[in-house]
Amino acid sequence: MKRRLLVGVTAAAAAWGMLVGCSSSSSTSNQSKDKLVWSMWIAGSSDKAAWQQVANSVSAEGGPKVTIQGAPFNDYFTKLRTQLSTGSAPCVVSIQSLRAANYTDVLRPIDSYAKKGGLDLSEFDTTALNGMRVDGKLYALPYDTGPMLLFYNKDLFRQVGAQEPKPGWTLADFNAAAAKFKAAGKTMFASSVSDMNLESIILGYNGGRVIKADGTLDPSNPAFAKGLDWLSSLVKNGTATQASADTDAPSNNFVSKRVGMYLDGPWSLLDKKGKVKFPIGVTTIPTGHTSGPATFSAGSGFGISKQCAYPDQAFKAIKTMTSQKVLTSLARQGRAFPGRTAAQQTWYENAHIDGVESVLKTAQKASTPLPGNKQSDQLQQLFSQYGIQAVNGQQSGAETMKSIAGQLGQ
Amino acid sequence: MTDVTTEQAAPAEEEVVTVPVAAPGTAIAVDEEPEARRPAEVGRRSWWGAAFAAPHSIGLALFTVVPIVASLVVSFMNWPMIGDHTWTGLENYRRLFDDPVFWVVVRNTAEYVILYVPLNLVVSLGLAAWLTPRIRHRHIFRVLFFIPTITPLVANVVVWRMLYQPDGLIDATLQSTLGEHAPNFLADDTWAMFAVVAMSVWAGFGYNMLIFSAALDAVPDSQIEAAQLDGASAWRTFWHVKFPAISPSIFFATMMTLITSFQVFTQPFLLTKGGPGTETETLVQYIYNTGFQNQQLGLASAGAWVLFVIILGITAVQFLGQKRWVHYE
Amino acid sequence: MSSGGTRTTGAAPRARQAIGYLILCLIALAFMAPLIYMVATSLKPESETFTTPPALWGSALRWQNYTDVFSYLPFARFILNGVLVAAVGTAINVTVAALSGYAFSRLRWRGRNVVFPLFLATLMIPQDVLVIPMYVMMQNLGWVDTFQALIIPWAFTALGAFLLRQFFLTVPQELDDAARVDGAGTVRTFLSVMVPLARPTLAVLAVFTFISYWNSFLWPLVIVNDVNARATIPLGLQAFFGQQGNEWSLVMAASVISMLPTVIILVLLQKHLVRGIVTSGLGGR
Repeated sequence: MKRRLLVGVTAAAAAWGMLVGCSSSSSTSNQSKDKLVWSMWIAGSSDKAAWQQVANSVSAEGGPKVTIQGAPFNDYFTKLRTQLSTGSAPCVVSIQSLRAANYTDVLRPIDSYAKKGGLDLSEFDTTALNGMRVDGKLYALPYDTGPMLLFYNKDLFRQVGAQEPKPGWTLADFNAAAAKFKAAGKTMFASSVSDMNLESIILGYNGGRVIKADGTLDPSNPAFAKGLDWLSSLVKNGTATQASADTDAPSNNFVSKRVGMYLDGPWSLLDKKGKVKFPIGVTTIPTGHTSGPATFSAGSGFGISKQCAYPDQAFKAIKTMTSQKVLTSLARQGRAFPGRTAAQQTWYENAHIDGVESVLKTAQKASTPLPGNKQSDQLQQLFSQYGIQAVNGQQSGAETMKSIAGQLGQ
Repeated sequence: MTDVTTEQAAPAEEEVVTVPVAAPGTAIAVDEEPEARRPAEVGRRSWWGAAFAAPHSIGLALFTVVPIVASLVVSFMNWPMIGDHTWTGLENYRRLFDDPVFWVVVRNTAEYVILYVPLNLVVSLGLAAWLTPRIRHRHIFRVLFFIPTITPLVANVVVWRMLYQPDGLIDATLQSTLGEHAPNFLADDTWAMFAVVAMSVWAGFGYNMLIFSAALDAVPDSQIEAAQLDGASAWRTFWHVKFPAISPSIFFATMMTLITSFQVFTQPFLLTKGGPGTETETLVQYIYNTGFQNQQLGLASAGAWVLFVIILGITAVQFLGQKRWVHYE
Repeated sequence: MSSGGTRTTGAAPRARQAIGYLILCLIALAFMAPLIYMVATSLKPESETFTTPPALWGSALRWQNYTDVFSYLPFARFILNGVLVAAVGTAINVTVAALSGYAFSRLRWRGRNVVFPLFLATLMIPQDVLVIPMYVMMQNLGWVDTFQALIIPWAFTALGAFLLRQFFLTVPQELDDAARVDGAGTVRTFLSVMVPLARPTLAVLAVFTFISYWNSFLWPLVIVNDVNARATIPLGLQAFFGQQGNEWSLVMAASVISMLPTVIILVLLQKHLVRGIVTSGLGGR
């Protein structure tokens, strides 16, 4: 009996050792001057491999060793605040432009480090860089950027006899194409209720916006409510799919050829192109008004946590991670649209999609960064809950926005 | 999480133990206090007993008693995830009760419980009654019906999402047979809660079915045969002989199912995220959102205590009501 | 259904029984449909996961989905984490429960009559209510996003003590006495007489503790930050959602994999599990 107990205890101890030993490498508690942890959303092993290269580039340039701590995108921002609140917060933090405002209390402004480190900020895409500024302070160096776009199925457009949308197309063009799809018994557009998508397409439709340019919330904005009603009319007349609780339904429907087009950003264009079995087209969001921006842009970048004890090393790391060399290499691998102007050309050349350069340039010109807000995480959550009811026509846009405003405590 | 004893179970441990944990026939052993016959040994074993119980007691104190007490304290404080903690008295409870969403969430949870518990009991009792020892290969059926109960709930949810989706299995079947679209179950006000309940019953009834099945097996044949000789139909035999005989098991199962269904989280959280709107948001999701998304741990603790008190209340009511229909032989 | 023909004979009741059995089989089939569909989908090519009319099989059996799962996410890591977390947690729980169950049944000591009711009372506290304070505690201990946080907080549930106590009470005192006559002390009696006797009960407790660790979702969701390094199976499965574009066939393959261990346990240990559930109400949901 005793021997067996001994075996048991030894086994348990060994198991413990394995558990802890195998993964201690990514523990944030033992960061040091030359060992930093970088928290990043990771979509899978190939994604991780690509980011691992970025991490490796830092030590290759003589910087600290950077270890990735990954979470799936959906959980990332739920976890981030929790993580940054502990003494063992990761030093390098990935952040989306539209959420930067939400985390200014736990991130370090990096303007002074940029100056000290001799970083020429003008080499970054202006929209991308401005997206990372909150109240004039820079919180992250952008690695990617881009305006919201529409991806479409060229085969389906040809099949129903609709004209391929040109960059800068209008609401009238959109309706004409929708009519062709309807005549052919097909659904043109995939409804989506995630914040970026909803806010962008409504901005294009009538300029309605729920977050003002200065970042304050405006959930009672009547134009935005009208935009929701317009989206629900699309669902009603069969132009758009029913909105679903599943945030991936739009892209799934697109890949499986159930819809002709859906909203997405340039960051996933090349990934989608590899997934679909038809020629993929890309165009701007249709405009129903003549003045003002017609789409939102957003990007992601790397910042430094306030708790980080080695900000100089961390800055060195993010400087390398967003360098011309690294971003060009990412562009060559067909990843996100680079946040540095000079690397963008590589991305265009690598995309092999007709007219992608002119579409992106048109869209960029028509875009404005989607501002963040302290409550934008909550807003995103509320859209995914209440947006469905509005888009599927169970509640009017105004009613929906009233519920949302109530929840936001407005 | 199983045995439940109420406050009114007297301090004397013999009484605590007679609380029915299980089906009749598998009765809990009688507490016969062997040591009582051997007073001489008391002294010698005295500190061994404490030593044997110590690891468990310390662990339980640290990881159950301390947290539950702490959570009561935290519920009276403003306790953001980052930053300073301040004493605010009843402020959290006031905020909670002033929040219309909280009441919606309480209502949703109640709706879920009211739909789920009877459905679960009816399905599990029905199948248990059906799967008599005379059914060939009954153990295979029992295992089949039990599979979802012990597999990760997340995996079950994943499959059901695929059934419920527009163009998912249910929708596609309807389209190709009736030419009609199925409702968009998870995104529709009227259907979402039913969809969550249906999935939960599917995934959860196997456990009660096993309890009932074993309890029914233990009903003495003589009683059943006597009823049959009197010319009672199968239906009558069930209600007049078998049901009273297994009523302790049904009582136990009802209690457990009630308690766990008040804590429902995973199914709505992964199927609908609580949507559309707040149609399927439950108390535990509210607590989770408040605590880990809005980072208000004090407010979340207050919510957790409300849940705890509800569960205690329901348990107490159940115990008081049991005398009317539970028969202990 | 000849085996059922002890009481009823004749053609009509037999036909009725056969029809009844058929209906039962159909119900079982309908019940299994989601699981069958899950297995079928896990073998389809990704582009064929949603079809109208629905099809059970795709154009090809794509076993590769099962290997793809492991390259898409560190799924092997999740399995390893799941097994080790559950194993260590179970080992602790079973050990402390055997000790305390023994103390509460066969040893007499001061305070026993106070401590045992307290044990029982803790069974009434729902785990979900404990999540918030437990998290605060883990923060203070610096255990957020660690394996100990996944294991330790739930390793001391009182249920096992209760279960083992019930068992030890049924063991005849004579066995105890015999051991003592042989000169065995309390520890030796416990280790060499009691523990071997209690093996079936310990096994039942172990299996259920293992399963509840294996399936637990809310706590890992709350406490794990580095999903790729520390997620257990349910959390890892959830990570398949919400990646850009759900890979449904992969998700299904992952679900099948995650179900396998518990289904195997169920099939192998059927009888013990049933007994465990029946005598103790273990594994309730």
